[in-house]
Amino acid sequence: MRFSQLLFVSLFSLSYPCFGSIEDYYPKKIEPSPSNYGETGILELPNAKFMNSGSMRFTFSSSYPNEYTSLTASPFSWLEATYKYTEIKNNLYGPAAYSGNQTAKDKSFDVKIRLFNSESYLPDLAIGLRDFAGTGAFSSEYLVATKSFYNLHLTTGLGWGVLGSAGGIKKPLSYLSDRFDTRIKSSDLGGDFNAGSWFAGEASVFAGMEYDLKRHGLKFKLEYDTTEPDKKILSVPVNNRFNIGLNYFLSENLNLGLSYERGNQFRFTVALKGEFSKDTLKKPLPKNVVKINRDQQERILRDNSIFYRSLNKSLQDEKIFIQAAELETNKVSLSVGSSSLRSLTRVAGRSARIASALSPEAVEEIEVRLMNGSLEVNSIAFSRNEIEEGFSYKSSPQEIFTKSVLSSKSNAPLVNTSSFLPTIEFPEFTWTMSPALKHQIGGPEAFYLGQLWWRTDTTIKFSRNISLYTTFGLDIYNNFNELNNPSSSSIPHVRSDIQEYLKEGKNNIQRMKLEYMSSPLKDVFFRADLGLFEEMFGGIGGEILYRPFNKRWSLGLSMHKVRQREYKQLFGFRDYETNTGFLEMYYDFPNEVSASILAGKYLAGDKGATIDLSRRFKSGFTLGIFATLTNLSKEEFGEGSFDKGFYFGIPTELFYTDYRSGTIAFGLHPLTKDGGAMMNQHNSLYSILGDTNYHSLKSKWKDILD
Amino acid sequence: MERYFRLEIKLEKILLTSLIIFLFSCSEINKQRISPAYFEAYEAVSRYFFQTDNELLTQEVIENIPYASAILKIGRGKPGLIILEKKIDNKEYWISADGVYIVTKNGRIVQTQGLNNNLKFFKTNNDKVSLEAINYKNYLTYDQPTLFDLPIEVHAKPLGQEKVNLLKGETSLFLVEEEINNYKINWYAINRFWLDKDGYVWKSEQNISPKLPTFYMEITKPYK
Repeated sequence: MRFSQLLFVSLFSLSYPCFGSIEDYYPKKIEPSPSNYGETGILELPNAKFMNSGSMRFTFSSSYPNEYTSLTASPFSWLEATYKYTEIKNNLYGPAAYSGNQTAKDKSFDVKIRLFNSESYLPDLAIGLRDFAGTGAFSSEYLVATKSFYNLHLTTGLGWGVLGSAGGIKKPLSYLSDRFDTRIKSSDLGGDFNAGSWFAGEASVFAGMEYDLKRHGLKFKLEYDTTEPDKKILSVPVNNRFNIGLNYFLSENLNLGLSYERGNQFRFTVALKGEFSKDTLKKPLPKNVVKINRDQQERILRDNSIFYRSLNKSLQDEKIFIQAAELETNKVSLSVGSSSLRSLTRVAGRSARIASALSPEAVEEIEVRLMNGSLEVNSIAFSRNEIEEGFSYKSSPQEIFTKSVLSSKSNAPLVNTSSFLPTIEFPEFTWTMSPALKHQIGGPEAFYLGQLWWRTDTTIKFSRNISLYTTFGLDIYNNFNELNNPSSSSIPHVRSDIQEYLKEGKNNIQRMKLEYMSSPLKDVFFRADLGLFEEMFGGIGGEILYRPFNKRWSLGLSMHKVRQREYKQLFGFRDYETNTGFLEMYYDFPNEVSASILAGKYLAGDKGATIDLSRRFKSGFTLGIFATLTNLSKEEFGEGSFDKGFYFGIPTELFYTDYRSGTIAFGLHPLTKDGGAMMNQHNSLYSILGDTNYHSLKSKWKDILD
Repeated sequence: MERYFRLEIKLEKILLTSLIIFLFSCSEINKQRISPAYFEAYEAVSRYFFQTDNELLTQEVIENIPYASAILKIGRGKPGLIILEKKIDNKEYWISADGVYIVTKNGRIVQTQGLNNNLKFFKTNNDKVSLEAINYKNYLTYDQPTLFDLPIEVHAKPLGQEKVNLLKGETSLFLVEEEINNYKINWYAINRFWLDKDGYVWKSEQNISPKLPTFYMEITKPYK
């Protein structure tokens, strides 16, 4: 064989995947694993690897004296944010009279950002901050690089703060500015970003390696650890700076780790991860609707009620509920809502599919008006020809989009003008029940105090626009009697009396409010409510939201006159009353990111603003953070300095093989404080209308044929 | 010690309460009102730990269906009926209600479609399930993700005759066990086939992919 032929055959063989992607067929898929602190890393050290965007990981890492429980989220593939509790077992929470034998706890936020993602010979690069807005007990900053060579991953980096405990490099950035010479101690109140200390002071070079044993689902770890996190609290000797560990992957989402660190500590770690950016479970396809024949068309033309009844029945089979319909000579309009299908474009597409199959031949346009509750939120007018082509795979969602008209007619809903309205007998009564949990985490009495309670929600609809919502709570089990830390806040106790509410209001009326909603003008929505709004406040008020359909922004104004409820949470009130209200600005950025700024007066009378940033993936999974700054001083606010927190929502349909509307929601304020406290609004207008504008419909347009 | 017992009692109370909620809820109260997600979660969990049959699949139902049929269960999922759509060149094409295709040849699954990971091609030195002890190789090709010709070593051994409960009644069948493995990806599994004296496979437990659970198949009405 000639050399050129041999070369050709060799190159062809190398390029032809004889084993395809055998990497994907190992029984246990090995992913980047967490460090002890929760962010993706080795053991004590971080690395430059990240989870995929839309992922969350819970990590529990136990040793003596430090035990870490953390929740890490990756709203983007280049960002990981971690909220962490540290239990310091060789230290007490406080004086015995205050907190008994409870061990010390520390809360912190960590963040890691990718600077460079290499797909060539260069390493990945990341920068990170540990414990940057807490008391600073574990504060570190780092610059880290990781390079992978098939199963081997090598990491090296530069660490400051706790990561720089081993020293070695004197103030590496001081040539840039004097500010990098010394680290400033965090305030005892915590909550400060303490940016003046970032990357300041001595630094250390750290390094580590990981090796994947894919056949066995194992990851071996070895690192040169430059940390000494116990130094500030109670010194624990470091006998050896080499840490060694092994992770076993039970699946790509669950792994267990065992390590030997500092020459004197064993550590056990368990990490559970979930990726929620996409819905990976197959869902039911649209039901097949048989097109009506000529006879049936003629009967419909003689008697429209046959069409409306068939439409109603077929839509119900898809769990879509018709609110109004109008059959004209060459147009069908229908107003629909669905409590199961989350995507409005999916509701519109399935409704149009059914309407098209049941309509007479002369109909050329199908207008679907989408409703959320009692509000008509937007309208999509389809060309019947084009959408039928789409249903038979002869057209694409993009082509259908070019022939469709998206608009808003909120002030002239079809329910006011149509010839067909389903019969609803008002008042209409509905109810649901479920078990529920309340938590108080990290208090001086005990780390976890909670209540299992039985929740009953009822709705009485007096008309399309007026409803009475109630929520009752029945105690099943709780340990709130252990709460023994009354508020010493110097400002009105609008939230910090939570212990009294939890102890005395175990069986309660959580909510009982009368609500009115309407759209008086195009894209202007109004809501008024009266009654018991939430556990701690009741009163009267309302809000207006202007949501221009074709814009990415919305503007709102809310105002409420409220009075604080009695601790028993029945019908009584306490003396404190106030007015609270906000000017609200919302903006939808590209890449599913939303931001809001609410500026106004809070429940305790302080004035300021709350900023909220969130990302809502197409699957419905939402991750968000918020922070509030008011005119209260740090001393008035107390520990934490200012209010902040995070939240996430996971649609329950990601765990099921059918569509459903529930969400597993969790929100956390690290501390329950009176400053920056807002009323919990049920059915706020933006929560109903936030994803109903032109850009939201367009971003989910591919669901139109699904 | 005392603190441990106090914790025990608290845990017991919580567990008991949870159990009461689930049991009481499932049997007494309208499921549609009591947050249906809890019921479905309970059913999914109980099905995972306590595998149940599909009560709707009875011999009478099978007899009333004019087509050849089989029961297929994948992993810990609920058993479902699959119908024979066609038979071409000794290959039987079965289809389920949710559009999953299973192709069998001499009782062995050789192709699938509609799953998250599908067997596309099946090459073997041994076409039929043998009643003799033999060693041979199969080559499996998959999609989602793509993998061509994964070599599988097979060690087949007959384990004699045994009484087997099929839907149609108790029958005496020959059991053949195949140990399959691929050293490179550390995949090891056992297939089982229950055959009659003519070599017809009435029941089987087959592992067709490292990324899929075991397929349990039982012929309820054979093709004639």
